[in-house]
Amino acid sequence: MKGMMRKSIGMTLGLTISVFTANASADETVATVVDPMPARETARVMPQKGLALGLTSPSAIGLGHGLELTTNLVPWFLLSPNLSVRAELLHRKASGLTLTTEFGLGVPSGAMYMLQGYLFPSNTVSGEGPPFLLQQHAGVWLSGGLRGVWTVHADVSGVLIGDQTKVAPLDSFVPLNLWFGPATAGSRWHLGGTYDLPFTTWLRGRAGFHLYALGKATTIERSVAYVGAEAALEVRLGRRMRVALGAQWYNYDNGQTVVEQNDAGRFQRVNVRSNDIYPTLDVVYYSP
Amino acid sequence: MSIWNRLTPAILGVISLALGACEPLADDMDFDRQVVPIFERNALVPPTNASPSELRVMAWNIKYGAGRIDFWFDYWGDRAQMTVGEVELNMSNIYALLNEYNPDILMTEEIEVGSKRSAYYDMVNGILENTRLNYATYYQSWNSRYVPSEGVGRIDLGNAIFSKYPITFSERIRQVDRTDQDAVTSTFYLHRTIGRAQIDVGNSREIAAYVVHTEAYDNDGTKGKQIQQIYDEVKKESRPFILGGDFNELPPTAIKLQGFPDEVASAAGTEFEQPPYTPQIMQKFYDDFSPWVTLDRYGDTEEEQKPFFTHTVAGPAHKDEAGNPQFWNRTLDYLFVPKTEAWRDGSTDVLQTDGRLGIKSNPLWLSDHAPVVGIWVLGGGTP
Repeated sequence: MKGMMRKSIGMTLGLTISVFTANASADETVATVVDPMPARETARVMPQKGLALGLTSPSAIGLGHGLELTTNLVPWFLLSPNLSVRAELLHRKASGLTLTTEFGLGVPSGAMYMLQGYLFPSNTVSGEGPPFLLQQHAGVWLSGGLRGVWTVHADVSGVLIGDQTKVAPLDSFVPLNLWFGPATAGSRWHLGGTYDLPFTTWLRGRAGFHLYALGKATTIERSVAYVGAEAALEVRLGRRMRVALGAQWYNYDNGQTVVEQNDAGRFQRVNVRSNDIYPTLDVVYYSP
Repeated sequence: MSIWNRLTPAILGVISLALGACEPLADDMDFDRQVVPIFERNALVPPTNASPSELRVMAWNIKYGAGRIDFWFDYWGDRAQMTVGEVELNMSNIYALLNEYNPDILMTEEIEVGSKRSAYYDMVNGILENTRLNYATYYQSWNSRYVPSEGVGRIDLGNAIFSKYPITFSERIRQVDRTDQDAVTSTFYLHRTIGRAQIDVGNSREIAAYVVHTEAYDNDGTKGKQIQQIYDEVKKESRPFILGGDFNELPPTAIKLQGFPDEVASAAGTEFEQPPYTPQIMQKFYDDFSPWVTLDRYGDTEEEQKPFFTHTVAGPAHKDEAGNPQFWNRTLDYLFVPKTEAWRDGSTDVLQTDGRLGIKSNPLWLSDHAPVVGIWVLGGGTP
C-alpha cells in the first residue's frame, strides 16, 4: 500500500517534470518575447484551446464561449479525481472587468485511502476503509485591471454524497487541513483577494490575502478560521514556461498551548494561534 | 542595482521569519534538569491537617483519560482519538475515584494537556478543579506538533504530581532515549522524564515526591538504564521521599513473565510487541527502600500475586482464552519510600475493583492500570 503511494508520487513528479522539460526545450526556439506574461488564477478564462498546466496551481483548458475546465493535477495521482468548470459571465475589454462562476466535483477518498496509517487511521482490526465521498464546490471570481490585475474570489466546498461524519477533522498542517477540509470537517469556505503585477516582460509579482473557515473543529473551543497571505514571484523560462517562487503565511488554531504567568503570579495554560510560513514552488506551462 | 539584488534581502528575510516563527515539528527536550511551573487550584481547599503525620498517596497511570476505549496500538481496536464527550465522561469517573480515595499526594502518568487524541482536554487543570488537590506540576515527556501516524496528530503527554500541600519546587530530569528506532520515528517519539517535586507539609518539614514512567517497548535495554537512573536519583535524595509510577517492569519474584492473556497475536512483530521482562532489575528497590507491598506479601504463586496485579491492556469487555472477562494480569506500578519511612499497617493496596479499601468506583473500567495506594507514616521507619 505504502509502496503504491510512493510509486504514485514518483510517477506524478516524473511525469510532470518530463512534460515541463519537454515544453521548456521547445520554447527556447521561439521568437523573442516582448509581451508581459498574463496573470494567472484570475476571473479570466482561457481562450478556446488555451492550456495551462500547473505543478501545484490549477491546470486549465479553454473550451471557448467563455468556458474553461480546471483541475488540480497532484490529487489525480493520489487517486482523487477532481474537475471544475468555470463560466465567464461578464468581460469588459476596456477595463478588464471580468465576472466568472465556478462549479466542480471531486472525490478525495482515494487520497484518504492512500494516506491511511499516516493522516488517517489504518483500522486494522475492523478493516474499514475511508468512506466514499463526492464533494462539490461552487465559487465566484471577479477581476479587473489591465496591467496589474486584481481578483476577488469566494468559494464554498462541501460533501455531496457520502457519510462525512465518519471522518474527524485532520488538525494537521494548513495545506492538508484545507485540502481535506470538506471531507474531514464537512465544508470549507473561502474568501480571497490577490493582486498580480508584471515588473518586466519576464517577471511578475503576486500578493494575496485569504480567509478560510472549516465546517467544524475537533472541539467547540477550537477556532475554525484560518487567515492567510501569500506572495510570489513568477519568472519566465521561455515563451510558455514560468516558475513561481514564494511563500504563504497562515494564522490558525492548531491546538498549540503555552504556559503563562498571570498578574497574580499564577501559572495557567492558554491556547494560542499558530503562525506557519511555507515556501511555495510552482512550475507552469501557459499557452493562451 | 538589479531587481534580484533588491529582492534577495527580502526573500532571505521571509525565510528567516518563517524558520523563526513556526512551531517545531517535535520537541527534542534538550535538557538534563529543568525547573517546571507549579499550578494552583482556583480556590484552594485547606487540608484537614496542616501539619500531618501521615500522607495518603496514590500512583496511577490514567491512560490519557481513555478509560477502556481500545486504541489502535493495543490491537484490540482501531481508535486513534476520542470525542470531547468521551474524554469528559472518562475524566469524571477518574475524578470520582480520586475523591473517594482522597489522596494527599497523587502521582499520575500518561496525563495529557493538549493532545488531539484526548480532544485537547487539559487533564492537569481538570484534576485540580475537580478534586481536593490544590497544587500540581506537570512533567511533559512528549511534545510533538503532529505525529504522522494513524492521524494521531498533536501530542502533549507527561506525568504529574498533585498535592494538597504547597509544592515549593519542581523539576524534570531527562532520561535516556531509545536507540533502536529509525530517525523519523525517534524524532516524533516521547522522551521519558523523571518528575521531582518538593512539598511543604508544615512544621518546617519538606518532603520530595517522584513520579516516573519508563519505556515499554524497547529492545535495546533503554528501560533498564532508565530504571537504574531512577534508583540513582532517589538514592541521592536528602529529604523523605515517595517514589511512585509505572515502571513497565515486573516485581523480582513475579511468577508469570510472559504469555499474558491480553496479548494479541497480530501485535507480534510490530513496534508494540511486548519485549521480554527483566524483573531482576527491580530487586534493588526492594532491597534498599520500603515497597508498598513487600515481596513476602506479594507471594510465591500466581494466585497469591493476582490481587496485586496493576495492568491489563484489554478491559473486562474482552474475554480471555477461557472465556472469562479480562482482568489485571501483571504488576507494573509501584510505590516506594526510604527505609526511614514506613507504611501504615493495612493501608497499602492495589485498587483493582470496587470494594477494595471501600471504594465504590471500579478501576477496571477507568484505565489500563490500577491505582496503587498507601498511607505513608512520615518518619515512621527505621532511622
